[in-house]
Amino acid sequence: MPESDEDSPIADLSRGDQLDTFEVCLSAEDVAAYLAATGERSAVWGVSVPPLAIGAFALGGLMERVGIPEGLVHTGQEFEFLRPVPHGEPVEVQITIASYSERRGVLVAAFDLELHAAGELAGRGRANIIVAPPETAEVTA
Amino acid sequence: MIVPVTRLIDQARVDAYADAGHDHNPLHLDTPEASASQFGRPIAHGMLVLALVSEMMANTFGQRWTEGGHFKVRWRAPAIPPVTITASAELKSSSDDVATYDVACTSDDGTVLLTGTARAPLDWSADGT
Repeated sequence: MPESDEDSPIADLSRGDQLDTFEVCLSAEDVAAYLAATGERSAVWGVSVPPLAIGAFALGGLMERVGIPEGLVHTGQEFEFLRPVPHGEPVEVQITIASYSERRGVLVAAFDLELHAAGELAGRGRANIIVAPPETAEVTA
Repeated sequence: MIVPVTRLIDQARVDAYADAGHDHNPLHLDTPEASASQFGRPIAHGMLVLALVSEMMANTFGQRWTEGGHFKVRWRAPAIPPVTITASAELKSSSDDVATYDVACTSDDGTVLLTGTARAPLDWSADGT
């Protein structure tokens, strides 16, 4: 259930804040479910995890921690994949608030993500969101 | 050349993605919140649309996509199921070790849903892609 902006933990964030590190780990079954859902069939993912799946799980973890405020819009996404992650390998997710501002009731924020696996940087990215009253949201993802 | 990827995104696929990706934002599901939204019905996850881009790049670059692949995209319009979406790429520039593409996802009615760039490492010693 979406929360109002004011009730969501997202309202308490500031630029530079770091969320508590958390872990995602995609088993072979998780990968199979992800591929079945997306419809992707590449044999590449027989051993390693589709990197965007890791990104999706990391973003899911982000949303769990900041809440899903009503009017949340995922406007942009950047990812760089640096290292394959085998099925079942834990990935540590570090998230920093890269930007956070509010204007005329619209919250605009960016979250930097770093993904570490086996002590190495496996990927990094940035998620851009806005939280706008529904009648003003133009693009929703 | 990068071969486009085309796929039907229907509500069953969106529901499956919500379960697989642990993203149960009610905006994507058959919920009162989705009905009350400006779209009046559920919309697909942006990451599900983006997955077509990643698939397209992985189909071309294989494992190398996980070893230096990069993209930066913005969503331009919501994907409202059922919708058939095509991800495509056009070479923007290339050097000895990297190729950069303009990428887009477009619905079957011509609506541009996503635009951006994707970059992949080249390995001429492997297959000359």
